[in-house]
Amino acid sequence: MNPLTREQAQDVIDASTGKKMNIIDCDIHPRMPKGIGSLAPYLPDKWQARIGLKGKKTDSEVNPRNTFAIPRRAFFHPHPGGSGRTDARPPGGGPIGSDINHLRSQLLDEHDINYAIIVGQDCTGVSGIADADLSAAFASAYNDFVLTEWASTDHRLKACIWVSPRDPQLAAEEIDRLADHPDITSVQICPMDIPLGKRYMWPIYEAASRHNLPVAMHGGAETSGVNPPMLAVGMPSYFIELHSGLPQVGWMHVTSMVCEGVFERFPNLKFIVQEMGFAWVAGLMWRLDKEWRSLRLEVPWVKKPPSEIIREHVRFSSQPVEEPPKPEFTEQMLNMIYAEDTLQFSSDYPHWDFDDPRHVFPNIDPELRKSIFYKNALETYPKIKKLVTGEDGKN
Amino acid sequence: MGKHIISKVSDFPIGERKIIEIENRSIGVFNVKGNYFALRNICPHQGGPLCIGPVRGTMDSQKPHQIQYVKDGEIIVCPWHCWEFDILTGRSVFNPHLTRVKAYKVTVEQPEEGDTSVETYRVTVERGLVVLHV
Repeated sequence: MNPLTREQAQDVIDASTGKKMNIIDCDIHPRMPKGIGSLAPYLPDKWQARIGLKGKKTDSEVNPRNTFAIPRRAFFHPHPGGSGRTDARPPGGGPIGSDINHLRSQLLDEHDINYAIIVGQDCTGVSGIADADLSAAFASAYNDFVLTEWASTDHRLKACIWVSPRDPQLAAEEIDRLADHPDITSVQICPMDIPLGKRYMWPIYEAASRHNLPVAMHGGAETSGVNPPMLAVGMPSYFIELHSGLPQVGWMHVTSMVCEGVFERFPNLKFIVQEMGFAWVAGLMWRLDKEWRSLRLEVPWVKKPPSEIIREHVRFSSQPVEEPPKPEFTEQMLNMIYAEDTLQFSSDYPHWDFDDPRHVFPNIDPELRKSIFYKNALETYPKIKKLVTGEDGKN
Repeated sequence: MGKHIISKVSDFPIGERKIIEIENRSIGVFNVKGNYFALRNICPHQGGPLCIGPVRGTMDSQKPHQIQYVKDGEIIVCPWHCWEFDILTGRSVFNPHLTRVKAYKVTVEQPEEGDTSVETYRVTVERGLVVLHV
C-alpha cells in the first residue's frame, strides 16, 4: 500500500534524482559493527590510548575491566535480542543494523524511501560520558565514521552532526567543522540533566542557527553512563516505565526551549523531538498557553502564546506512533497537535518498535499524509529541500 | 448610560481606588498619578473581581533574559489567575489586541457655581405603580 496515489495528491519530484517524493525517514539506527573498535580509524591516538582501544579491534577486546564502555541505558530490553527486530539480522552475521547494505535493501529499497537520516545507535548516550573532552571526541569520531562508512554508500543516506551537550563550546566547534558536508542535514544531541533551553546550551543553537541547521534531540541518554533517570520522580523499576515515560523528557525540554527564549534569540531555529511520542503535545500546548497568560511576567521575552511558538519551531518524529483504540481519536489528536505542520515520519529501523510506513496513519487525508511523510521534513531540513526543490530553505 | 459623580477630587488621592456599583455594574475607579481611570470589575477570563487585585507595574523585554520593569502603578492584576491589564486602556498585557476589559471614561469637572443640588433621577407613575429610572 503506497502512501500516495497520483489521483489523490499533487506529487513532488526530487530535482536531484527525478524520482517522485515518497518518504523522508527522519530517524534510523544502524549500529557500528565492531562496537568501539569501529572508531579505531577515526579516534585520535591520545584518546585511543586513554580508553584502551589502541591495538584492539572489538568491544570484547577493549572492555574486560576498568576501561571505556559506550554508554547505554541501565535498563535492558526484556526480550532476548534486545532492542532490534530479530528479522533485521544481517545475512552475513553481525549485530542487528550493522550491515549498511542490508539496511539499504531491507529499509530503503523495500519501502521506497527517498532519504533516511542516520541518527544511529552508538552515540545516543554520549552525554553519559562525564569527561567532557572524551564525550566530544567520541561524538566527533562517530561523525567521521558515519560519513565515511555509511552515508557515502548511498545518496539516500543522510547524516547528522552528533554533539555532546557536556561541553557546548566544543559542540559548536564540531558543528562548524561539519556543517557544510553534503550529507549533513542537522545537529543531533541527546539530553542530560540540564533542561535544553538553558543559556548553557546556547553555543550549540548559535552554531546550528548560523549554519541554518535544525537541532534534533533523541532519547537513550537517560540512565546512560553517569546520567540520572531524567524522569520526574526518580528511578523506575522497569524498562517499560522508562520507555513509556519519555514524553516527560520531551515535555520538559520543549518547555525549556520555549520559556528560555531560544526561538526569540534564534528565530530560524527548529527543534526536533525524536522518538518521544506526540499525543502529549496537545496537553503541553494547552497548559503552557494557559500558564503563560498568568505567568508571562516571569518570561516577558515570550511575546506569543507558547503553542504558536511550538507550531512554528518544534517538530516531532512520528515513531513510536500513537495507537489510540478508535480511529476518530487519531484524527482528533492529529488536529490538536497541528500535525500538518509539526509531525515528521520516522521508522526507527531496525528497532523493535519500528514503524512500517505501509501500516501507520492509515485512512488519513492524503494531503496530511504527504505532509507527515515528507513535506514537513523538507521544511525542517533545508539541505534536503535544496536537493529536492533547488530552493534554499527559509528555516 | 449617563454621567455619575464619583467623589470630590480631594477625597480621591493618588494611588487610591474605589469600587462602586453603578447601574448594576461593579466598576473599579483608579487614581493613577493624578489621572482617573475606570474598568469593569469582571475579568474576561473567568469572571473574577479584577479590580480588587494588586496594582503594580509589569515586566517587558527586548530580548531573552533582559527584563525591564515598566508602567509602575498602571497595571491591575486579577486576584484569581494573575492576568494583567493596563488600567489606562483596559487592554490585557499578554494580548492587547484581542483580550481586554471594558474601560470607562473618567473626567475631572468643576461643580457649577453655587450648585448645591444632589443627583436626581426621573420618577414616573405607570399603571398604578411608582417607577424609578436610573
